[in-house]
Parts: sequence; structure tokens; C-alpha cells
Amino acid sequence: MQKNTLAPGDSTVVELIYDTHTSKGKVSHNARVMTNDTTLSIDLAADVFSSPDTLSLIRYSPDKLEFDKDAKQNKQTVLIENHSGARLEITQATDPLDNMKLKIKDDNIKPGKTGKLEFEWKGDYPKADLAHSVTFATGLDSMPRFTLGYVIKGTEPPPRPIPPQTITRTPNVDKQTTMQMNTQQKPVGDNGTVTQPKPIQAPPTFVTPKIPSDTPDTAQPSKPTPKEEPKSTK
Amino acid sequence: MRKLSLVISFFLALTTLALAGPKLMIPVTHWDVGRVAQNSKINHSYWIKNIGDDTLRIVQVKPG
Repeated sequence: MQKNTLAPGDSTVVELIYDTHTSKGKVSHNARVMTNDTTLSIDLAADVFSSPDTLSLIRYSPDKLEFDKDAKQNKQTVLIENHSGARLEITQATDPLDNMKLKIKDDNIKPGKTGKLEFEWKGDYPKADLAHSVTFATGLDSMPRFTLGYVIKGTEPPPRPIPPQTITRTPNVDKQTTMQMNTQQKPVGDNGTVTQPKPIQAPPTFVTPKIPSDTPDTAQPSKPTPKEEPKSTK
Repeated sequence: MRKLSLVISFFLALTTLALAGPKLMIPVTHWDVGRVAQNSKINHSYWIKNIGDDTLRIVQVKPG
């Protein structure tokens, strides 16, 4: 859709795109256009066939076109076989893309004869694939139209889908916990294993030896022995 | 004569009220592309016009 707001007398275009995939037979798809005035429905109908087509009164090959820059395929020819008992008058019912040059070589095809359509892509090749179609009228009541789909192959490959990522959680090791020598909590090492706490060694105590002396204690008083308080650990 | 003019002006006012505001028009709402091969992307453009006298806002285009 080109624009969402229309002034009085203004107009715009809504494009419906339908991918036939593996559908078969007569199909119809619609869309609702909702406005501040009213809601109207638009629909697109098709008669989908599987390749190769051996039943239609008008058969064309190839039934899909591909324009590839790498393969240097910017010109394609479509052959139209008239298997009906009436003369065909081929006319263009819809317009192709702007840079697609279309030429109806044989617009009048007699019964049992073959006609040609020539397609030539004259524009630049896009980055991503560009799909479009063109519809032709035949002048035949039993098969009034046929549509040819074509793809302009992009120059860049399609983006790869992102695979689902698996999230692995590693245990959160708290360094402060490992430093605490608590008998109730067992410390956890870096690799997640539980280690036994090392026994606390009592600090050595220094005791100055008493030097025996002959003289009784007269001048020098005895020096108090230094005592080192054991370090308390928590 | 006076009554006739009153009636005519009444109908004119009604018509004006009916046309007042936006008016959506889609000339072709159905399109048959005919025979088409599988695995083809087909597309068709539909013209949408505002024939009213106020702004038409396209709220949404919802596929069915």
C-alpha cells in the first residue's frame, strides 16, 4: 500500500500477493480494506496447475521464469501452444515490473499452432529475490486468462536462519565464601568441588630461657618473659 | 409552491449529509488471474479512491 490517508479525490493502490505453493485447482483468497468510512473486501482467484500442464487448452512453457545475473539469463522466451479449436488473441491484461520489457511476438495463434512471448529484464539486479507476475487475456471463454510468474534473482544469498542457542549456566563461585574457615560451611574450590578445611596450626610461643645466676637478685630486676598471644582466627 | 420548495430543499439537505465525509470506492474488487503454475507468486493491484469530501483513512488491510 502506497499511503494510508487519502484526501478527497485522491487514490492509492493496494497490492495483494499470493504464493500458490503446492495448491491445486481453483483457489480464492481475499483481504478486507478497513477505513474510517466502511470496510470492503477484495479477492484474488486462480486456477493452479502442477507442472507439466497436460490438460489445459492453452499450454505455455516454461510456466515460470527466472532471471539470473550470474547465469546471464536476462532474456526468456515463452512458447504458447493452442490446443483449443479456436483462434487465440493474446493481449496483456496486467503490467509487469517497470524494467521488464515484454513483447508478444504472436498475438493471433491459430488452433494447433504455437506462439511466442519474449521477456527481457533491463534493470539492475536487486539484492534480494524479487517475484512478480503478468496476466494475459486469451479471448477464449473456457480459459479467458493465464498468468506467468517470474523471479528476478537477487545478487546476495538469503540470510541464514539463526539456530536456537543453548544457554549453559556455570555455578557462581563466591570468593568470600571460600576464604571463611567456618566449620559449619564447607569451602568450595574453583572447580566446584568441596574441599576439606586445613587444620589451624597453633602459633609457636617463645619462652626466654632462665639464666641461672650466683648473685641473688640485687640490681637488675628480672625481665618479664614476652608472651605472644595466640592469633584467633575466625 | 412554497411547500414544494421546502420539500426540495429538505431532500437536497439529506443528499448533502449522505455525501458528507469520506467515501471509499474500489472499482474492481474481484480479479481472476486464470491458469497459473504451482510455486508462483502472483500479485494484483487494486485501485482505492476517496470520492467523499473529507479525509479517508485506511486503518488496516487484513488478509482473510
